[in-house]
Amino acid sequence: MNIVETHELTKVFQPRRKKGAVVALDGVSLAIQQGEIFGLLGPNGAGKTTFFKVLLGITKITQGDVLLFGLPPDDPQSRQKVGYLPESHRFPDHLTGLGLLEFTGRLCGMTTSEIDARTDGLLELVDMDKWANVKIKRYSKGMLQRIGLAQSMISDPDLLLLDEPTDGIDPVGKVEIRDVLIRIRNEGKTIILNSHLLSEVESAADRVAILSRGKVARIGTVDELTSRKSQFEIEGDFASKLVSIPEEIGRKLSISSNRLIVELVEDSKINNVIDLLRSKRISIRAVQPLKVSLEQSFIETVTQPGEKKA
Amino acid sequence: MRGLIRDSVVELFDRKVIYVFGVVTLIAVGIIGLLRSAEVRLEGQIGMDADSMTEMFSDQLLSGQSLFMSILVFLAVMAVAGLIPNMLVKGRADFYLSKPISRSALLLRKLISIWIVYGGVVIACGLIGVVAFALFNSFFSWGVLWIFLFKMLGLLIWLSIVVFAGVLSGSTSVSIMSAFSVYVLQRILEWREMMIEFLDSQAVTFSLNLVYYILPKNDELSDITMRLVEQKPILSWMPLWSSILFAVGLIYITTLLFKHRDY
Ligand SMILES: Nc1ncnc2c1ncn2[C@@H]1O[C@H](COP(=O)(O)OP(=O)(O)OP(=O)(O)O)[C@@H](O)[C@H]1O
Ligand SMILES: [Mg+2]
Repeated sequence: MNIVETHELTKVFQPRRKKGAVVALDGVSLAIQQGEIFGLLGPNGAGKTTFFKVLLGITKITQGDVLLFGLPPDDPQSRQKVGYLPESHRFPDHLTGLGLLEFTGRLCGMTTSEIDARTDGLLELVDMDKWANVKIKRYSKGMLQRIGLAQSMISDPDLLLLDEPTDGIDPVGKVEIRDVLIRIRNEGKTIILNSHLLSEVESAADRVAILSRGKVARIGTVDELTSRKSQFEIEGDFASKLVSIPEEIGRKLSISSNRLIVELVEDSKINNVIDLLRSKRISIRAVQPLKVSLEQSFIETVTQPGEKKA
Repeated sequence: MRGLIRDSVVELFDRKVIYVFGVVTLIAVGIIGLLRSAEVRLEGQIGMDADSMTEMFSDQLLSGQSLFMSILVFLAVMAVAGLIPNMLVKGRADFYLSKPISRSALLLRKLISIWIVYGGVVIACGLIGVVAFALFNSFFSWGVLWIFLFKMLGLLIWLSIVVFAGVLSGSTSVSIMSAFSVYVLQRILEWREMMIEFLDSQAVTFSLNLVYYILPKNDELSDITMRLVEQKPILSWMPLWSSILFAVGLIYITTLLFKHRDY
C-alpha cells in the first residue's frame, strides 16, 4: 500500500507583489510504500522541506494531488498516524522535555494513560531521561533535536517525516539514531528522511529521490543510484596485453596492469567483452558493475539540472 | 482541549505575567483598606457611622470594583496579545499544524483556553477585591456577578481583536496596536452625534454610524453592567448584542483567514 502518494505536485510561493514567484515544487510525482525508509536528497532550496509541509497541509498545494494514507491534507485525519520533526524547530519552550511529549500526545488526541505508557521509553530511547524535567529553553542544540525526535514518535506513528533529524547530534548519537530508524522500519513503519548527510542516507535508506529545483531529478534504490549504467570494472592480468573494444560493443574508459573499466552499449555486452579477453588469454579475476558513492552520484545529478537519468 | 488549557497555564506562569496581576491586586486591596480608614476617620467629623457610609456609597464601591476589573482585563489583553503570534512563528507553527486537528479547531481551542485561563485570573483577582470589600467594609452585593459576567465578555471581545490581528500579521506589536486603535476609535465615536451635527454631511454621518454599529461598545457595556447591578431599567440592549456579534464575526473571519494561510 502507498502511504504517501503525490501526483504532479506543484507549489509556487507567490509573493504579495506579483514579481519573484518561487517554484518550490514542480510536478513531483512520488509513491512511498509501507515499510521503507525513503531518503529525500537535494541541494539547499531544492524543495525538500516544502514537500513535507505540503504533505502535512502546513503549506497549501498550488497544483496537483497529495494523498497521505489515502486522504488529502485538508483532512486532519490524514495526520492521525504521522509523526513530524520539523526543520529548525522551535517547540513551545515554556515546557519541559517531558511536558513537550505530554502536550504533543494531547494534541494527537491520546489519553493520559496512553501518553504515560510511552514517555519513559521514548526519553530513554533518545537518551534524554536525565533532562526530562528541565525546561526546553535550557537545552543544547543536540538535546533539542533528541527531544524533537521523541515528540515525533509519541503517538507511535506509522509514518515518520524527519527533516534533518541528526542535525546537531554528536557522532555516537547519529549512529544510535540510525539504528533506531532501522529498527522502527523493521516494525513495518514508514520513514521519510530528509538529510544532507549522504553517508547516513546511504546506510539507512531503502530508496532515494534526489530533488533539484523542485523536480525529481533521480529516484531509485541506493544500489541503482550508485551503480553506473552499463559500466563495469574488470580485474585481471592486463600487463603488456593490447586490448581494444569494438565500437558496436562499447568503449574502454581506462586500463591499468590489473584493472579495466569499460562502458558498454548495453549490460548484456559484458559477455562479449569477457569472450574477447579470454580469446586473448587474459586471466580474469573479477567482474563487477562500477559503483560510485552516493555523494558522487548526488553531485553529478544536481550539477546537471533538468537532465533525467534512469 | 485540556492539553491546551494546561499549556496556557504553564505559559502564564512561565512568562511571569501572573506576578503583574498579583501586584495590581495588592495595590487594589491597599486602596480598599485606605478607603475604610478614611471612612472611619470621617466618622467622628460628620457624625455618621462608617457602615452607613458604606451603605450610602455602595454604588460607587461597585463602580470601583468594575474599574478594578477593567484594569485587570486591560492587563490580560496586553498579556495575551503575543500568544497567537508566538504560536505561529516559523518552526513552531509546523509543530502545531502537523497535528491531527483541523486549523479552525486548533485556533478556537487555543482562543477558548486563553479566555478561560486569563479570564480565570481576572475573576480570581476580582474575587480578592470582593473579599477585601467584605472584610474591610463589610460590604457585599450579588451585583458583582454581573460585573464578572460582563468583564469576561469584554475580555472575549478584546481577545477576538488581538487574535485576528495576530493571525493576520503574526506580530505581537500589531496585535497590541490594533486593540489600542479600536479603543481610540471608541473614544472618538463618543463624539459621534456632535460630529454628525457639526459636519452635516451624509457621507460622514453614514460612515460614522457604520463604524459605530460594527465596532464593539465596551463603554456602553459598562453602563449596562452598572444598570443591571443597580437594578435600573436597561435603555437599549443594542450595545450588548452588536458587541457579541462583532466578536463572533471576527473570530469566524479569523478562522477562515487561518485556514488558507501558508506556514
Ligand atoms: N514561506 C515561503 N515563502 C516563499 N518562499 C519559500 C517559502 N518557504 C520556502 N520557500 C522557497 O522554496 C524553495 C524551497 O525551499 P525548501 O525550504 O523546501 O528547501 P529545502 O530543500 O528544504 O532546503 P534546505 O536544504 O536548505 O533545507 C526555496 O527557494 C525557498 O526560498
Ligand atoms: Mg529544508
